[in-house]
Amino acid sequence: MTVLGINKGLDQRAGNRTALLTVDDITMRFGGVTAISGVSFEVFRNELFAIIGPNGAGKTSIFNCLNAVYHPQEGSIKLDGVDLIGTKPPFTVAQGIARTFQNIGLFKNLDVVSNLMLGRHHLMRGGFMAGLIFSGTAKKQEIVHRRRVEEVMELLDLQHFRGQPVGLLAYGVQKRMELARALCMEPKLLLLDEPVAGMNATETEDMARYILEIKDELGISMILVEHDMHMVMDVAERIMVLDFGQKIAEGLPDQIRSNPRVIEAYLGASK
Amino acid sequence: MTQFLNGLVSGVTLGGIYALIALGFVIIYRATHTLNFAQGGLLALGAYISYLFSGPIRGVNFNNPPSLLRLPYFVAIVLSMLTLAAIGWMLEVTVIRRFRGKPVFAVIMATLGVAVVLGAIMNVVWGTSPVNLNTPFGDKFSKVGGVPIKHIDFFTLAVVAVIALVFFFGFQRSKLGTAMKATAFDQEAAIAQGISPNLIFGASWAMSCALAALAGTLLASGAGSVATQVSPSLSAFALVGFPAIVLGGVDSPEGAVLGGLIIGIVQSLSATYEENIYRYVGHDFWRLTPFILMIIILLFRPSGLFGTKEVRRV
Amino acid sequence: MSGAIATLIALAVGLGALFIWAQRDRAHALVVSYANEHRRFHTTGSKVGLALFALLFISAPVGFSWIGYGKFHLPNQLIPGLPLNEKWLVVGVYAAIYTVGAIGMNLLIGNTGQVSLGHSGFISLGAYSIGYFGQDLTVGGKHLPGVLWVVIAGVLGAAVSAAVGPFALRLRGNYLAMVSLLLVFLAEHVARNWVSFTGGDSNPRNDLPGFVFTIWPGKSIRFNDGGSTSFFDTFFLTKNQGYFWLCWVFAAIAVVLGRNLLRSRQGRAMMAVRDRDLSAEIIGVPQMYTKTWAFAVSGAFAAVAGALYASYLGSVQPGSFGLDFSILFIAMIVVGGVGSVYGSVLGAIGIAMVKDAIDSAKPLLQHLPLVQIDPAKRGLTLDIFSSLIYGLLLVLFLVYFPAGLAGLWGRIKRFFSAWPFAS
Repeated sequence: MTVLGINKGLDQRAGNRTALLTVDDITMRFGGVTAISGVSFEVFRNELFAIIGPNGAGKTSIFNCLNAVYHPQEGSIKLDGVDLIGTKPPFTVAQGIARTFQNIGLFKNLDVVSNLMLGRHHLMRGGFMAGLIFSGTAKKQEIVHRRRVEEVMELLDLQHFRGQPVGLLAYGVQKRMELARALCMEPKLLLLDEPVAGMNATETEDMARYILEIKDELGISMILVEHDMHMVMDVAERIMVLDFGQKIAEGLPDQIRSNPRVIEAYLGASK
Repeated sequence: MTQFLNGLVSGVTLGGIYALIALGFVIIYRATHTLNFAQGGLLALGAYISYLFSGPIRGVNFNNPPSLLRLPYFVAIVLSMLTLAAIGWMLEVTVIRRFRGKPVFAVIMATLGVAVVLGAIMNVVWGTSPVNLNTPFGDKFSKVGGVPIKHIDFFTLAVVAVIALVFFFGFQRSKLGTAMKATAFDQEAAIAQGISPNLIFGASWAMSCALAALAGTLLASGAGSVATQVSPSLSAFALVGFPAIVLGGVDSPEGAVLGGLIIGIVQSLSATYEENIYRYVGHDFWRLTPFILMIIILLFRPSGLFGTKEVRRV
Repeated sequence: MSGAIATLIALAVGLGALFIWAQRDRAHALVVSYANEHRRFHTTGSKVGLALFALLFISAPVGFSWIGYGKFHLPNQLIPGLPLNEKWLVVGVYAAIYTVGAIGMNLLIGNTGQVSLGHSGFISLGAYSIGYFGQDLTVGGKHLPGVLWVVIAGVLGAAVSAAVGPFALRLRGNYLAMVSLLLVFLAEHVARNWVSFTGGDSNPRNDLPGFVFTIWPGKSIRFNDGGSTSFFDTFFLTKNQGYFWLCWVFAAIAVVLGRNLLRSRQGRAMMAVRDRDLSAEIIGVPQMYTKTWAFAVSGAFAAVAGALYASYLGSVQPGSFGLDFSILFIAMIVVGGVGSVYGSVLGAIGIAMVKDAIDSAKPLLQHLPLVQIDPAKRGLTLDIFSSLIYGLLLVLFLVYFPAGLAGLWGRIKRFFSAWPFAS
C-alpha cells in the first residue's frame, strides 16, 4: 500500500520520529457492508494526526477497531509493537490508548472527581476484596491518584465543578470532561472523536488550545476525528481522508486542502 | 406413542395459550419497552371476570364466591376481554404513564406493584379457594386417530388461530396497527407524524390485557391440561410468557406465537414424561423447563430466534 | 426506680462526654486533605450519630427486656413505664437481617444497575446451607463454629451468584430481570426436591442451628440455647437479646463493607457500568469482571442474611423464599434509597417496622372493611394486606420520593445546614 502525498517536508518532520501506531491494511465488514476497506496509516510519536471524511466514512469504526470494540477481519494494528486485534478494550487501555466519545460517554450520575478517577481505574490496583476492606494500599492509592486527578482538573479548568454530577454540567464542560478523563488515563495515544461537535466558535477555540497544550506539554500523540475543517486544518500536522471506508488521501493540511479527490468527496463530483 | 401424542396435543394447545400471553407481552414491549410483570395478575383477573359473567356450574352449590350473571360461556369470554381491555387502558393512564422515561428498574417495580394490588383485589372478591368455570365443554373429548382430544383443546386452537390470523393479517395492516408499528420503530418520528403516543400506549395495554383475559379463561377451562379451575395460581403461567418471548425475540409478534408454541410443547412433554425423569430432576420439573430452555436460548442467541439484534453504539 | 434514675444519669453523662469529644474535633469538619476525605465519620453530626447508635445498640436489648443472672432472674425493665418489650427486639433482629440482605441487593441493583429479582434464591441458599454446615456436618464429633458456617454460606452465595455474572454481560435491563426469575423458581424447586438436604415440603427442617460463638474451648456464647442466650453457661439473656446483638454486629459489618466498596476503585467501576457499560469498558473498566464480582458480593450478602434468618427462626420451609421475598427486599431498597448503603439500613428498619405494625395491628385491622384474619377465607388476609402495603410503598416511593428515605434525609440535612437561607 503506497501512502499518497507524503512530501519531502513531511518526511523531514517525521524523519526523526518513530511510529507509535501502525495500522496496516485493515478491513472491517458487518455482514455485507464493508465499513473499512484496506486502510493503512501510521501515527508518529507526539504527532497530531487527523482523520476526516463525510459521515459514515468509517472514522468512528477505525476508533472502535483501535479500541478492540470491533475486530477487523484483515490487517493488523500495532501500538508500540503490540498487536491489538482480537484483544479486549481494557487491554488497549492498558497499552496506552485513551478515547473521548462523540456523544458523550461520561457517567452522568457520578461527580467530576469520580469520573476522572475512573479514567485512572486501569492504573490503580485492588480487587473487590481490597475494596470491601478498604485500608492500606486501597486507601493510599485513592490519595495518590486523586492528586493526579486534581492536576488534570487544574490543566483543564475543571476545579470548580469538582463535586457536581456530570449530568448536570453544561454541554461544553462535559466535552472538556471527556478530554480530562482521557488525560487521566495517561495514554500514549489519545483518540479524540469530534471533540468540538456542537460547540460555538469560542468554545471550539478553547478546546483547540487545550488540545495543543496537551500535545506540547504532555507529549501525547493524538488522532483527531472532526468535522470542523477550520479546526482540523489549524491544529493537525497530518490528515488522512476517508470516504466510504477507503483512504482517499493523506498528507499535510495544505495538500489535503487542494487535493481534487478530497474536494470531490466533500462537494460531490464537479465534472 | 399415544402418551407422546397426548402430550403433543396438550402441548400445542398450551402453546397456543402461551402464544396469546407472549403476544400480549410483545404488544406492550413494542409500544413502551416495558415488560409487564403484572400480566399474571391480569390473566387470573380475566379468568375471574369470565367467572363473574358466566357463573358457577349448575348444580354445584357450595359457598360460591360472587358471580353476577349466568351468561353463556362464549359471551362471558368476550365480556371479560372487553372488561380487561378497559382495565388495561385505565392502568396505563393511571399508573404506567407516570413511569414513562424512568429507568427500567422503576417500570418493572411499578408493574410488580400493580400485580400485588390485583392479587389483593382478587382475594377480596373471590378468596383463595378455586372456583369452577361454567364451560359447555366439561371433560368431553373426541378421538382423532386414536388420540383423545378434549373439546376445549379444539376450541382453544381455533380461537388462537383466529386471533393470530386477525392480528397478523387484519390488525397489523389497519390504521391503528400501522401506527403501533411505527411507534415501535421510532417513537419520536411517529409522534412527528401526528400519531398520539397516549393512544398507542393505551391501546397496547388494552389489547394485551384482553389477550391475557382470553388466555386466563382458556387455561381455567382446562385447555392444555395444566389447570382446571379459576384460582390465583393461574398467574404463574403468565411468567412462562417470558421464555416464549425470549425464544421468539422480544419485539417480534410472529416470534412470540412460535415461541409460545415451542415452549408449550416442551413443557407439556416434560410433564407427560414426568414419571420417567423425576428421579433425576425432581417433581414438578415441567414448571421449570421453559425457563431452562430460555437460558439455553439466551446463551446462544441473545436476541431470540426472530428478534432484531440490539445495535449498541459507543 | 433508683435503677432507672441511675441509667438516665449515665445516659446524660455519656451523651455529654460524646458531645465534648465531637466538639474537640470541630476544626477538622472541613476536608483539608485528600486523606481527610476518606475518614469514615468526619462531621460532628455523623460522629454523634454513630455514638448514639452504638449506645442504643448496646443498651436496647437490656433496657427493652428483662435481665437475669444465673438462676436468679430479675424481671427488670431498666426504664420502667416506657412501652418496651421483646417485640421491639424481634423487629430489631429482623431489621438487622434485612439490612445485610438489602445492602447486598442495593450494591447490585442500585449501584451496578443489574435488576435482579433472584435475591430470594440466594437467601434460600444461605438459609439451607446452615442446615448442612451448621448441623449435619460434624468435624471430629463437633459442629462447626457459627462464624464459620456464616462465612461458608457467604462463599456459597458468592459462588452461585457469580455464575450469573456472565449472563448479565449479555442481557440487560428487562432481559436480566426475566432470567433472574429463574433463580427464584430454581431455588424453590431445589428446596422442594432435594429432600435429604432440605427436608422438602413434607418434612421441613426445624433443627437449624443457633449461632454459637466460641471464645476458647469450653467458653462459648450460645445464642439459641433452648430459647435463651447463654454466656459461658453462667449468664443468661433471652434469645432475642442475643440475636439482636449478633445480627446488628453482622449488619454493622455489612454497612462498613458496603461503604468501603463504594468508596473504592471497584465501587466506582460498578457505578460506571451502571451508567454506561460500553464506555466503561473502553476507558478500561472490564465489564465482565465488575459485573461478576458485583453479583458475587451481592449474593454473599444475601446468603449471609439467609443464614442469619434461618438460624434465628430455627426452621425454614421451601415456600418461604418466593418472589414475594425478593419484592420485600426491593421494597426495602426503594423505600430506603436506591444506591445508598445507609438507605438500605433505613429501608430495612422501615420495612421491618411496617411488617411488625401490620402484625400487631391485627386486632384493629380486623375491624377495617374487607380485612380478613382467617387466611382461608376471602378478603384481605394479613399476608395479602401486608404485600399490598409493600406494593403501595414501593409505587409511592418510586413516584414521589425516588431517592427514598436517604434522599429525604439529605434534603433535611441540606435545609438545616443552609438555614436560615434555606427555602
